[in-house]
Amino acid sequence: MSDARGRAAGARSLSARLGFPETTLEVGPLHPAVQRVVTASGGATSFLVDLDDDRIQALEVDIGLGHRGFEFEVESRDWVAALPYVSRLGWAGSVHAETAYCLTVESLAGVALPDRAIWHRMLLCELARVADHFVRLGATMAAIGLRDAENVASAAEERALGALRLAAGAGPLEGALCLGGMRTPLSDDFLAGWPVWRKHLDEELARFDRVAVGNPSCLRRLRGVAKLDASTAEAWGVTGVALRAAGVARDLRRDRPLLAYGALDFQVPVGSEGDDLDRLLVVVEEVRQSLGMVDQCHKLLSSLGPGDYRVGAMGEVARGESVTDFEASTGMLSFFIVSDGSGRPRRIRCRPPSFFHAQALPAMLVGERLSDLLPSVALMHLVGPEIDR
Amino acid sequence: MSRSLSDWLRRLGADLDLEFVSVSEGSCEALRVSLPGSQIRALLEGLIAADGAPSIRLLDLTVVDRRDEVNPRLEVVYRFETEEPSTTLRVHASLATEGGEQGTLPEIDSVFRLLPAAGWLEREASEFFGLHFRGAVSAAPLLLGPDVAPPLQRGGDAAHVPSLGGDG
Repeated sequence: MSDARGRAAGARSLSARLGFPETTLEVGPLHPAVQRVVTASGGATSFLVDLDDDRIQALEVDIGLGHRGFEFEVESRDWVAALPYVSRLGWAGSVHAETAYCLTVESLAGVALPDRAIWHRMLLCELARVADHFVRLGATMAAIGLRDAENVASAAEERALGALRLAAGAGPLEGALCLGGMRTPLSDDFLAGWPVWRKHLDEELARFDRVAVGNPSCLRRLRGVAKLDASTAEAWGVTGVALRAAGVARDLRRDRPLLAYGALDFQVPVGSEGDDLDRLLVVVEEVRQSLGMVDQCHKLLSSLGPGDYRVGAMGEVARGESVTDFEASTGMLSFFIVSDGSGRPRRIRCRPPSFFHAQALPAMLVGERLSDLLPSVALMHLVGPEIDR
Repeated sequence: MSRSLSDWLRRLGADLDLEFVSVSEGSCEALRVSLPGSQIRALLEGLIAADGAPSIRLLDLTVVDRRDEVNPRLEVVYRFETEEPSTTLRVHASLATEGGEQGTLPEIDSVFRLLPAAGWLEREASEFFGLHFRGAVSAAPLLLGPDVAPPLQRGGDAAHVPSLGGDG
C-alpha cells in the first residue's frame, strides 16, 4: 500500500537509508524561483524547510526582512500624508488598501461620497483584482514551469494594468484615490476604450484557459496538493480565494457590501477540495466575475456623465474608532483606526491577509513535496509589503 | 444583530466584569466589549469552548497604547466575526501599566491555544508594544530585530515620538 504521494507505507526514505534522514534547506528571497513567485509582488519572504528526501517535514516561514515601519510612519503623519504609505501595502492590488483606508477615515469624518466616486472606486478595485489575479496566475505557472501559460498571464496582467492606469489616471502606487473621492474624474478615453480593452482581456483569459486550465500537465501538477479544509482555514484566519477554494462561500462584497457592491450582479465561485487546483480555478473564475463587474460600473458611469467626483471639503476627522473590512484580491484587508481628533491617527492597524496566509502555510505543506512549495505559495499569493509592512 | 451572541455575552457578563455596547462598523453591526485584561481567557473560553456557544472566528488582534493618557493603560483589541457574517465582535481588554514591579512587562494570557490564528498576532503585538503574552508558544521577534525597542510604545522613554510634517 502506498500513500497518495507514492511512497510505500513504512518504507524508509532514501535519505534515511543513506544516513541523513533530515536536510534543512533555506529557500530564501534571493533564490531565482522565489524571486518570481514572491518578489513579483515586492516580497522578501524566506522559507526554512526540513526535508526527508524531497518531502517537507517542517516549514518555517521567515518574514520581516522588508519591514518599513508602516504603522509608526502613518501615526506620525496627518490623514492625507498617510495615503502613499497605504498604497505601498500592495502592488497591483494597492487600490484595495487605498479604498479600505479612505472609507475608514471618511466614516470618521462623516463624508457622503458622490455617486461617481463610489462607482469609480468599484471599477478600479475590480480592474485591480483582475491585474493582481493575473500576477498570481503568472507566478503559479512560473513555479510549475509552464512558460507559455506564464507568458499569457503576464501579458494579461500588463493589459489589465494598462486599463487600470487609464481608468485611475495613475498607475499602481501613484495614488488614484483621495480622501473624499477620487483624485481625477474617470477619463473619457477609458469610457470610450473599455470595450476594446475588455475584448483583449477576454481573449487572453480564453488563451489562459487553453494553455493552463485545459492543460493536463497543469491539472496533474496541482490536483490534491496543499489541501486546506474549511475548518483549518478558518482556524488560521485564511480569507479570500483560499477560503473560498476550501468550500466556504464568504465574500465581503456580497456578505457585507461597501460602496455600491450590493447593486452589482456577480457570483461567488467556491471549490470543494481546497487544494492548489481549486485555488487556481477560483482565481480564474473571479477574473471572469470581476470583468463583468467592471462592465456594470462602466455602464453606470457612462450614464452618469461628468460631475462631482469628490466632496468639496473634507470635514474634521472626529474623535472615535472606525473599522473597515474590505475584500481585497489577497483576502480580507481591514483598517482599524483610533482618532483623538488631533488631525492624525492616534492608532492605525492594517489587517493584512497575506500575513495570515503565510502563517497557515505549514498547516498546508507539511507532508508535501519540496516542488509543491512554490506553486502553493504562489497560489496563496503572499504579497510581501502586506506581510512585512 | 446576532441575538444569540448578545444573549451569550449577557450571561457571561453576570460572572465577568464586562460592558458591551452596539456600534456600527462599515456596513455591519458590531458589539464592542470592554473588560479587564485578566478576564480575557475566561471570556474566550466562555465564547469558544462552552457547549452551545455561538461560533466565532478571530479576525485580528492589535493593541492601542494609552500609556500617555490620564488613565495609563494598554488595550489589547481582539476582533471576531460571528457565525452571522454581518456581525462582528470587538473586545477591548485593558491592562494597567502602572503599579507593577519595575522592569516587568504588562502581561495578558495568550489565546493561541484557543485560536491558532493569534500566534503571529501576539508575537507582533508583543514586539511592537512591549507586553508579554503569558503561555504563548513563542515570543521570538517576528518583524523586528531581537534588540529593537518596541516602536509603537508611548509615554515615558517610549520610542514613538511622532511629529507632524516629517520629511517622509
